[in-house]
Amino acid sequence: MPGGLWPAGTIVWPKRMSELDQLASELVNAEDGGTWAPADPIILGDVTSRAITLSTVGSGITGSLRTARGVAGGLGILGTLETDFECVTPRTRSVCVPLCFAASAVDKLKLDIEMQSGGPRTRASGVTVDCVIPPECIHRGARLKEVVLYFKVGLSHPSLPATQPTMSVGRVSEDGSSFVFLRASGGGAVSVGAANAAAYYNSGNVQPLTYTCDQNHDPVSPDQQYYVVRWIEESGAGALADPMNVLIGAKLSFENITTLRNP
Amino acid sequence: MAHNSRSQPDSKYVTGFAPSGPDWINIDENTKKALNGTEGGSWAPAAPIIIGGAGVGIGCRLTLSGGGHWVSSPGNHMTMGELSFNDTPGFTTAVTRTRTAPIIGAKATDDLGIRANATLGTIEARRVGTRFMWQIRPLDHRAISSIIFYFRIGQSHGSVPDQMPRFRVVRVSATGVVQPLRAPDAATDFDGFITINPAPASGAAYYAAGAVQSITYTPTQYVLIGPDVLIDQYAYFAEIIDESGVNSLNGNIYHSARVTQLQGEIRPH
Repeated sequence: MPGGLWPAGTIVWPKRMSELDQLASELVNAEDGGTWAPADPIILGDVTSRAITLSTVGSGITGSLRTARGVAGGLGILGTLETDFECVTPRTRSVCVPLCFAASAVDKLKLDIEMQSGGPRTRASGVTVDCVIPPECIHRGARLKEVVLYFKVGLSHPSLPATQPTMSVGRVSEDGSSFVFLRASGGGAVSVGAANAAAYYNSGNVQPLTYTCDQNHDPVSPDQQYYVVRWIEESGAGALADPMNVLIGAKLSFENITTLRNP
Repeated sequence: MAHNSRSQPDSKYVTGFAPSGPDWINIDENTKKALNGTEGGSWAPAAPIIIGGAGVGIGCRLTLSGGGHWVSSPGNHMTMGELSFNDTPGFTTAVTRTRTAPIIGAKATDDLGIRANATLGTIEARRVGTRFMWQIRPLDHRAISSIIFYFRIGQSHGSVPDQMPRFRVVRVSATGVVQPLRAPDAATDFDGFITINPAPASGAAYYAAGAVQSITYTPTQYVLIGPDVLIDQYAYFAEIIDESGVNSLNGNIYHSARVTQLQGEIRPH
């Protein structure tokens, strides 16, 4: 009843008493806590209201969270640190990158960009090629697990080259003062390692070469360094002067992604 | 769903019923412990308050502090901007981000004027006066506070060259309009290039024993506030013109450009 209808000596009728008892039992208990399942949403505040603060350690929201609309100039969700947006379970992610748009070689006349039906790719003719991984493809703070290079041997070889091509992944500091491999064994590189000339050529088909990272890879960051894929051409007896080997692209596999802060 | 205890079941509330002291105390306690949705206040519940059912709508700012968190358990999601696509996760205070733009892949007006250097990931100027540029890919919608160029002078110089290397950053629109991120001023030339300033006193100082040197390009236009970097309208490039004129030599080595931005929110690239 409205306040004015509660004079001294008011007798509460049973029906009112029942209603009062029921309403009191439905209130959200802010001292003891508990569980409620309201039939309609509980609406707290409006856009001009002051803040609601959950200040106890462990306070949380576990259901779906939806921002209807930020206030003018505002944002839906605000954090204080980059790491505030975190994953409960670390995630994995793979990114495919081209290797032709940032490829370079000491003798650039031995480096071509092919535009074939299979897409743009780099053709190396007996020369070492450095291919930059686009920095926006490096998932900052994550672990780079492996890099798979896809390549083709351009020409059939009568015999297996004494030294087959190798591929490595390196991290270069912004001022070029340091370069480190992301793999400790094999001098930081992996070799194609075909068993014979036919397997090496593989009828000119695409071949994968997997580089498993085991150092300088956790975490990775494009902030003050960048990453390159280096291809060192075949050499020695059996190698062709102009093998026309083709570098198509690479797939980067990241793991231990703990926060939403890429790139 | 009711949670607090009832004083009596409805069946007891009949004509002639006289509430007892405990009945009133129970109702009073339930009321006292309730959240005050009109006047607000502070509570410290002994156990978590769990609200499911139709959920909770919050039309004001909700702050998580003291270790508070939001966790999306399986099947639940954070949906941004139901009515406004501009809602994105952001920061109360913009954080500083840096990202290095490698120089490999740079394109020169004279294609044979640059080449990859034996030091991994660098470009060597093979002809004096060579002009080249590369894409720096800044983060979208974030102000750029500085771009640092790293380089080495390739050969010992008897004197400082007439024109030392020049550096600038430009944005290029989809229609090809080029705009330097520095307006002409005392530190730049007409096209927004900066150079080593003050000029080294000698060729030896200029060479600096071939050590790494850096020069900082501070934008004065187009990218000064967060929304200014617009990758939907512009591509961004670092550009260098190698030394030239009297006393100039080839062989300078250029490493990278480090871009520092203020990040106010998290966006795709």
